[in-house]
Amino acid sequence: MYELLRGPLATASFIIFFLGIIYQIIRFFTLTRKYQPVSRINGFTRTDKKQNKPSPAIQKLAKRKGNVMGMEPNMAVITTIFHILVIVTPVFLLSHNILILESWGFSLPSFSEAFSDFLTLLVLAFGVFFLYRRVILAKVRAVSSLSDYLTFLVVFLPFITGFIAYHQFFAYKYMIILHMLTGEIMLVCLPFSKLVHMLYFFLNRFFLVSEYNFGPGGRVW
Amino acid sequence: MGNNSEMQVDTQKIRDLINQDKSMIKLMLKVCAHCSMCAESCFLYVHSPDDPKYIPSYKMLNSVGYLYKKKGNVTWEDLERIKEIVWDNCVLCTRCYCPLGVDIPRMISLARKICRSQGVYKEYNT
Amino acid sequence: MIKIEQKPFQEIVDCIQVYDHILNVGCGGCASVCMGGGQKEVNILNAELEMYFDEKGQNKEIGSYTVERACNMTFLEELDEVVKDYDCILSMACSAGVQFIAERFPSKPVFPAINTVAIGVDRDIGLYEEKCRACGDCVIGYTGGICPVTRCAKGLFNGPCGGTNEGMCEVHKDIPCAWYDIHERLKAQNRLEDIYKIREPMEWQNQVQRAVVHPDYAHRYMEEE
Repeated sequence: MYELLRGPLATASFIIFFLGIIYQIIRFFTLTRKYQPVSRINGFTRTDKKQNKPSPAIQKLAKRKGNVMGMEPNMAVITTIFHILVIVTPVFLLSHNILILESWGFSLPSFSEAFSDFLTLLVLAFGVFFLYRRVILAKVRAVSSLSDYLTFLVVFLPFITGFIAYHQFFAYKYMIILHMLTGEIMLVCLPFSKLVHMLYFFLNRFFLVSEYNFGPGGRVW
Repeated sequence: MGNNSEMQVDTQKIRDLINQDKSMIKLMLKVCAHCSMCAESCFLYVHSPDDPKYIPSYKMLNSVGYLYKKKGNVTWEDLERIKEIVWDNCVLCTRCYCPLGVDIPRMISLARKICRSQGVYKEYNT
Repeated sequence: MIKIEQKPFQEIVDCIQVYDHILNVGCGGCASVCMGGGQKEVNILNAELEMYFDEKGQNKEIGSYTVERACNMTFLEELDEVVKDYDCILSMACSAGVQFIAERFPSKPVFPAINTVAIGVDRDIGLYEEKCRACGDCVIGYTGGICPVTRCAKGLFNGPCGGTNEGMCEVHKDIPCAWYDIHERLKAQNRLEDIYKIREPMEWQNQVQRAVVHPDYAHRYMEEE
């Protein structure tokens, strides 16, 4: 079982993951089209009326009240940190990099094991926060369904099992198999479930024309 | 709208309207992470925070999401319920915030279009 | 939809500085769509005003409430309980809505935080163009869908003036001449004879307040003739 998960299944899941990501990126660019903003303003803009705004410092702080940092600052901060960590933690993990080095001949830099441990605990803590949010808050419960809870498991089981396996708390052999299995399930599910928002966060928020986009935006559906 | 019980819902027409944008609809419904961070951007929700019916993602998932899942095979009761969601619970002020860039107003207006195709729409004199 | 623009900040400050409890009312209709007076703008303006007055050492309470549409009295009913705690109302709805608010609460001073600019269209995100002057006698059927009242600086009804210069208006070199565009469009549709007839100038019907009575409801408001 271990050999299967370590060898061909791991390779297969990575391939499916990358192919799925590429497919979704291509899908985005085929479903959207380039959009040229208008080159000329038709009509007088009333620049004679001085706009007269408050000081830039006030404007900057006030702007925050209008966006998500003003509306839901806790969730905004936690979710940003969480999403960065959920990628950074496994990618710069020493154990993973050793395995990649053994299998494919290269590796990425790694954090110290203690630091990775700390990051994993952070991820798990945030997981508890998200679960709390989904179960307790009425507004999140209203849009939740079974798939959300399954996705939660798919994402956090690799972290839980990895943490237990690394520390060898109990049943190491089974934990490591479970860890690899759940990790591979997550990789395979990612491009084809709501986890694809990993990709579409960047595609939508940077490329689409919208009030809330980060870039200038040059595409529309 | 008048009594439609004699006429059937034209499910094929609904399917055709969905198929025009099928890929985009499917994608947006999938990308929605059900995080409900859009809630506070809707002033209707801010007024009645205990009522989930104003949450933009809720509105989208229960209108277009429902129509898509049912592949257009809906009843008049379903359409009346969707009419209430997309006309009474939403003013299409187009200011919904989505951290994932889902275009919720577009979905709501698509649901309105589908309702209108079946002769179901909000009447302002009732 | 109606397109609006926020007033200069100092003007808003001058209106409300004598009051300590101000309610900022936003509108979820036209004001929201053109990003001029929706919930988000209300929150931002409130934050700016609070910080501004804090710097000046004045402590003001600025509340916020966004109604669905300020131009319909039923949606203003929910304000009844809310305004009791405030001395004055600042509104980011279009001026029509602000007037309705003032009518509903005649004892409270009501100030507009925005200037109503135009009946216009969404050309692009953040770019809104005036298209209609609400003259009350639409002639765009004869002018190929281009409004001479809005687009012609002189509001001419019978072709361009002598100042038209290679398709541009004499008012500004970047403003296209409306009548040139009208001519080109009708020519492409083979309907030039529509503008060959002399039309009487626009009899502006906007000098007095107008009301529109839907024919189905004429019996409710007007006496039988």
